[in-house]
Amino acid sequence: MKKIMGLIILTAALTLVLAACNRDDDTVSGAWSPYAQPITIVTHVAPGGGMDVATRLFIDIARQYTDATIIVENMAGGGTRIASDEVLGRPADGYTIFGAAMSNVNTAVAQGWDLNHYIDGYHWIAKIQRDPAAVIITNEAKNAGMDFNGVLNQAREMGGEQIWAVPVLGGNKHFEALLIWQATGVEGMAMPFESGPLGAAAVLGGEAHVQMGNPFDTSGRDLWVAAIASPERMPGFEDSPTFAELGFPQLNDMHMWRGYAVRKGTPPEMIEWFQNLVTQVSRNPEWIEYNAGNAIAPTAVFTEEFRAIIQDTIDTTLYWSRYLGILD
Amino acid sequence: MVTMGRWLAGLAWPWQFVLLAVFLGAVFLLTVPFKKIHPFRGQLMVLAAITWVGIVFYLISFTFPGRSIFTGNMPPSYTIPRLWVYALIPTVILTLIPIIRGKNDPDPKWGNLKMVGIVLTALVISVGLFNYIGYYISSALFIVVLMWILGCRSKVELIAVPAGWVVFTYFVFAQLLNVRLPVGSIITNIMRGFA
Amino acid sequence: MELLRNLFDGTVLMMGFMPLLMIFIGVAVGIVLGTIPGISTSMAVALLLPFTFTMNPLYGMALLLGCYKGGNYSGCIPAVTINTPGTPSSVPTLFDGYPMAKSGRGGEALGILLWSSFVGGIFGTLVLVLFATPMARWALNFWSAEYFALCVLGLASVATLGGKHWQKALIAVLFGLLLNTMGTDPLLGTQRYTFGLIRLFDGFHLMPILIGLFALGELFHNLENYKTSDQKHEKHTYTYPKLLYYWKLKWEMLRASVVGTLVGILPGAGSAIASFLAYDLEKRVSKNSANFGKGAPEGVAASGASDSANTGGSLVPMLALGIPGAPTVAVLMSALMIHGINPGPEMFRDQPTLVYGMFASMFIASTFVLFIGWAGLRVWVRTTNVKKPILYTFIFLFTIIGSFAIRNSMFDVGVCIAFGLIGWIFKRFGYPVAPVVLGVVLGRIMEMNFRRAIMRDGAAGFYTRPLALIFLILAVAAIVYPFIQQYRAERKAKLITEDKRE
Repeated sequence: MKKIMGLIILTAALTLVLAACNRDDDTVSGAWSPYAQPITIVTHVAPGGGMDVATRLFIDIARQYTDATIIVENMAGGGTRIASDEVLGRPADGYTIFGAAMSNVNTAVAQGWDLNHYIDGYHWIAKIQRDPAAVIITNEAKNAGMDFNGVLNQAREMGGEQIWAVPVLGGNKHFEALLIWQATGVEGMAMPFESGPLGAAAVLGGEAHVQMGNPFDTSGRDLWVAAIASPERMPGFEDSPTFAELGFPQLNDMHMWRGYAVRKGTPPEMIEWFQNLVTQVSRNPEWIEYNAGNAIAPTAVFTEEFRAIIQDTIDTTLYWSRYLGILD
Repeated sequence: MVTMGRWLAGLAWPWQFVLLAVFLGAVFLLTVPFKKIHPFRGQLMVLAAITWVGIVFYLISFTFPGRSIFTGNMPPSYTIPRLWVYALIPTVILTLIPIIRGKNDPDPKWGNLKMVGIVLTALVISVGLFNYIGYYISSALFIVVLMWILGCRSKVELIAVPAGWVVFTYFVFAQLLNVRLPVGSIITNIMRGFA
Repeated sequence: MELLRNLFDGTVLMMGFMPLLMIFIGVAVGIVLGTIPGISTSMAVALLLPFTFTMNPLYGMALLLGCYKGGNYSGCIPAVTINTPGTPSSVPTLFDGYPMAKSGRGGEALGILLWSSFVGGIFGTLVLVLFATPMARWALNFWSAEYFALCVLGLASVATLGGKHWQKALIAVLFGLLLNTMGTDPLLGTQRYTFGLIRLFDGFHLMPILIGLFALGELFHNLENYKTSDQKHEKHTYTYPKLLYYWKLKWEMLRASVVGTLVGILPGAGSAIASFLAYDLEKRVSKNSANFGKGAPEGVAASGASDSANTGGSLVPMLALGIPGAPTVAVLMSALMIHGINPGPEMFRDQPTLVYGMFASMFIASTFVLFIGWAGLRVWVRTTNVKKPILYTFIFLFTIIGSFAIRNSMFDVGVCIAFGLIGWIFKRFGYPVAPVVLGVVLGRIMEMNFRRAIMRDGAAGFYTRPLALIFLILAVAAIVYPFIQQYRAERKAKLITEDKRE
C-alpha cells in the first residue's frame, strides 16, 4: 500500500514538474518596472577592478535618482566570457545588465568567438567612460629631461630593444603601442606584465622603459604621462601634452571605453529608464569629480553612437590581430 | 606528433578520462606476470596516471603556435609545459626503481570502500541535482542521507541539522555574501507556474 | 622623531569610540568569514567595501584593515581543526596544526597560531611604519629574473616536504606544475589544454584544489576507515598553555615574520610562497625538525607568523609606490580611490593623518585579533569534539558551498570533488599532496617571469643579476644539502656498526 501511495505521489509530482517545465522562459508580460525585482549588473572583473569600482560608484550615485535596488555581481574569468555567457543566458527581462569594457570586444574578436552572439546578441545601451591612452615614463626620467620625443629618440638608438610594458600581448594596450610605433616610425618590444600596477612597477624598477597605459596608472605613483590621447590637455595632467600637440593627431582618439549592455529583446521601457539614469549620473558632480581624479572622461553615449564605437574596436582588433598573425 | 596532438587536443574531456582508464588498464595487465610488483601496484598506477598526463600534455604542446613576429624573443607557449615533461621523465624513472626493486613500503590494504563509494555517489547525485531541484532541497536531502549512512539515528539531529543548514546558507551565503546558489530549473518553473 | 609624533597623533585619532568600533567590527567580520573555507580575505573585504563609501575615509580604512587582519588570521583556523586551509597561504599551517589537533593538542595549536599571528602582525606593521620607502625601493630591484629565482627557491622546499619519499614529492610537484599550465597562456593568450571547457580558460582556481586535496581527501580517507559503531571522537580535554610556553617560540615566530614581511613587500610574489618558505626555513634550522609534519609547534608558529606578517609587508608597495602587493590590497586601494585619494608616495605628503591613522589602526587591529581570537579559541577547538556523523557532514557541506562560492561556479564544485579523490588516492599510496599545491601556486608565476626574463636578457639575466644568482645557488644548495646530510648519517651509522663488529 505504501509503495502504491509513494508511486502516486511521485507521478503527481513529476506531472507538476513537467507542466512547469513546459512554460516559455523568455516571455515578459506587462509594463516593465525597475522595482519589481533587483537589477543585477554583471561585470567581468574581480572586486577592485576598473569596471567594478566604476559600477559600484555609479550605483551609489544612482541611489540619489532612483529607489530601484541595483547590485553588482563579479563574474571574472574565461577571458570575459563567463560574464558574457551568464548575461546572455539569463532572460532578456531588463533585470540583468552587462557591465562591459573594451576588453570584452577585443577578446571576442581576437579569440574568434561568434560575433553575432557575443556582440550583436546585445543592445549596447550606454557608454559611461572614455579612458584615454597614455605613454608613461618615470618622474625621475622626466626630471632628467626625458619627454615623448626623448622616448622616440631612445627607441631609435636602441634599435627595437626599448621595452614597453603592456598587460598582455595581443590586447588593446599592445595594439596602441603598435599604432604609436607605426605612426612615429620607431620600433620597440612589447612586454606583457599582466596588469597596470605590475607594469608600473616594472617601469619604476627599470625593467621596462615605457608603460603603455592610462593616465590613471600614474596616479599616486612616481610616474609621468609623456603623451596623452585627448582632444585637449586633461585637468590634473596639465603638463602632459596631447598626441596632436606632439604632431601625431591620428593617435589622439586612442582610448578604452566602459559601458553597459543588455540582451537584445529587453523591454524598451527598461532601456529608456536606464539611459535616463546614466544621463543623470553623468551630470552628477561626485561622478564628474571621481572621473576627473582618475583622468577619465565621463561620457553618456547611447545606442547607435555606442555601437559605432564598438565597430571601431572590432575593426582595430581585426587589423592588428591579422598583422600579428593571431587571426588569418 | 602534430597530428597526434591535434587529435588529443580535440577530444572532449570525458574521452580524456576514457583514454586514461585504457592506459591504466594496460599498465595493470602488464604487471600481472610480475608477482614481485603486486604489493606496489597502487603506487605504480598513480605514477602511470601522472606519466599519462605528461605524455598527453607533451603531444598536445605540438599544436601550440611557435615563434613569430607576435612572440618576438619570448619563449612560445609550449616551452614551459615541455620543460616540466622533460623533468618528469627522470623523476618517473627514479620513482620506479624502488618500486621495481621492492624497496618501497607496500600499499596499505583497502578499507571500507563500500562506505566511500556510497558517500561519493550520494555527493555526486546531490551536486548533480543542484541545477534541477536547487541547492537547498538537494543539500538538505544529502545531509539526511549522509548522516544516516554514517550511523546517526537521532530524529532530532536528522531534522535539525538540515533545517539549520538551509537557514544558515540562505542568510549567510545567499543574502549576506550574495552567492547565487542554484535555485534549480524545476523550482523556478514551478514558482513561475504559480505566479 | 617626527615619525613618532605622527604615529602618536594617529593613535590618538583612532582612540575614539567610532574608530575603535570600526576596527572591532572589521576584525570580527574578518574572523568569522575567514573561517569559512572558500570565503577569501579579499571577498570579505570587498563585502564591507560599499559601507565605506559614505564613511570618513579613515574610518572606512580602519574597518577594512581590521577585516584584512582578522580574515588573514582566521583562514588558518579550519586548517588546524578540520584540515581545510581557508586560504592558499594557510596550507603550511595544517602540516603540523592538524596532526596536533588530532592528537588532542588543538588548544595548544590554536594558541600558537593566535600568538604567532599577533607577533607576525605587529612585526609586519612595524616594518611598514619604519621602512616603507626604502623597502619598497628594494622591492623594485626585483625583475622577472629575481622573481623566477625566488620561485625556484620556493620549489626547493619540496626537498623537505617529501621526507623519505622525495621521489614521490617530486612527482607530485611536477603534477602540480603541469596542471598549472592548463588554461590561457597568461602572456600570449594561446589556449592550452582546455579541452573545450570555457571554465578552463583561466586554468584551475587554486581554492577548490586546496579544499579538495586536503579537506575532502582527508574525509574520504576517514570514511575508508569508518565504523558506524564508533561515532564519537575520543573526548579531549584541551589544555591552553601558559604565556611562557609561547615565549619559547619567539625566535621561530620572528624568523618567520621576517620572511613573511620581505616576501609580502614583493608585489608579484604572493603570500603562499612566503608561508611555504618560512615553514621550510624553520624545518631546516629547527632542532625538532624530525617532528615537522607530525605535529611540531614550531611549524604552526612559523606559518602563522609569516602569513600574518605578510599583511604588513603587502601594504608597503601600496603606500610607498601605489602598487598593490596582494589581491586584498587592490580592494583596499579601490576604497581609497573612491574617496579620491590615490595611494602612493603622494599620500604621505598630502594625507599624513590618514596614513598614520591607518598604521595605528593596524596595531589596534592586531591587538583586537588577539582578544577576539582568544575568546573564540574555546569555540573552535570544540569543533574537533563534535560527533563524527555531524562533523563529517558539515565538512562536506562547507567544502561544496565553499568551492561554489569562490566564483559562483558548479565547475569548481566538480574540480573540488575530483581533487578530493586525487587527494585520497595520493594519501593512500604515499604521495604527499602539499607539493601539488606548491606546484600549482608557483607554476604560473614561475612561467611568466621565466619567459619575460628570457625575452629581455636571454639566459644571461639569471647569472648577471646578483640577487637572482644568489637565490638560484641557495635553491641548489637547499635541494642538495639534505642528500649530503643523509649520506653522511648513513656512512656514520655504517662506520659505527663496523666498529662494533670489530
